[in-house]
Amino acid sequence: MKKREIIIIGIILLAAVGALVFMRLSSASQNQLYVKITVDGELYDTIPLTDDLDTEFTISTDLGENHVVIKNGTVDVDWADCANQVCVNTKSAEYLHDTIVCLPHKLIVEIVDGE
Amino acid sequence: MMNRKSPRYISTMAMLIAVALILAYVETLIPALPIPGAKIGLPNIVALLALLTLGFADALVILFVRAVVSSLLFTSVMSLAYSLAGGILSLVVMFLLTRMYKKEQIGFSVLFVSVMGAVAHSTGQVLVAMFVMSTASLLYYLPWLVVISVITGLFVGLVVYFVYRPFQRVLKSGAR
Ligand SMILES: [Zn+2]
Repeated sequence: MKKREIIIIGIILLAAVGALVFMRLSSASQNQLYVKITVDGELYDTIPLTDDLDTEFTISTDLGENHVVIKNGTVDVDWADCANQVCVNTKSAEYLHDTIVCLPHKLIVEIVDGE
Repeated sequence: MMNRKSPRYISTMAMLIAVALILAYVETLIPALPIPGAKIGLPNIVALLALLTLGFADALVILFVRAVVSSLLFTSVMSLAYSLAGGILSLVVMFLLTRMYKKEQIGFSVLFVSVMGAVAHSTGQVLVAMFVMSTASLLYYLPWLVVISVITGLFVGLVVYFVYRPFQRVLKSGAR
């Protein structure tokens, strides 16, 4: 590899890591956080995320089912009947912009701040 | 370039498609990473190899057949849109980049081409996913995918680096 090529790859990596750091820093928001659930582009539910909220429910649509657990200020999809199980394997969402997505079920669970 | 009607050409294409399919299958055996769309991209080994030895058109045909067949056999038809969008964007980027080199002398630069292809692959998939799910929040995954792509791209490039010359020799041996 030429020097120039290594530099280009380095810049791309740096930009990606920079974006990750920026996202984490900007997630230290003091605003109330919400769990926003979207199915097939339509808002399904918005739930204020508080430390003492302890709930679980199943989202079922024509495409399939995802089981969502909210407790200790984190959200997790711990069971789903989708093919790739990516949503189940994704670690629980806790900070602003953390997202759990199930592409086969067109489901997005994300953390947003109050607006 | 080989004559497109020759048995040699047809069998070479069939072999590359078969190898790409096997690699796509092997990839389904590897547990899913917790990030949507994150894969090692093993079939990219074949895509890049075909690009270097046969050219863009043949690499595109191999990509297309592989994507369609593997989505029918191993994954879902819905994943076809993602894999085609990522695959075609990646192939175009790698094609444009390989044009900057004399193919025989590409050497370790094949790693660079592969990394850029992998990054393009992730970007294409995220764009399609954003469109399908009609949301911009998937953009937050892109930095993770880019970091993973650099690593997987280096791996795929390294494999191609070692396989390219032997494969080229096999293709040329006995060619008229
Ligand atoms: Zn899922």
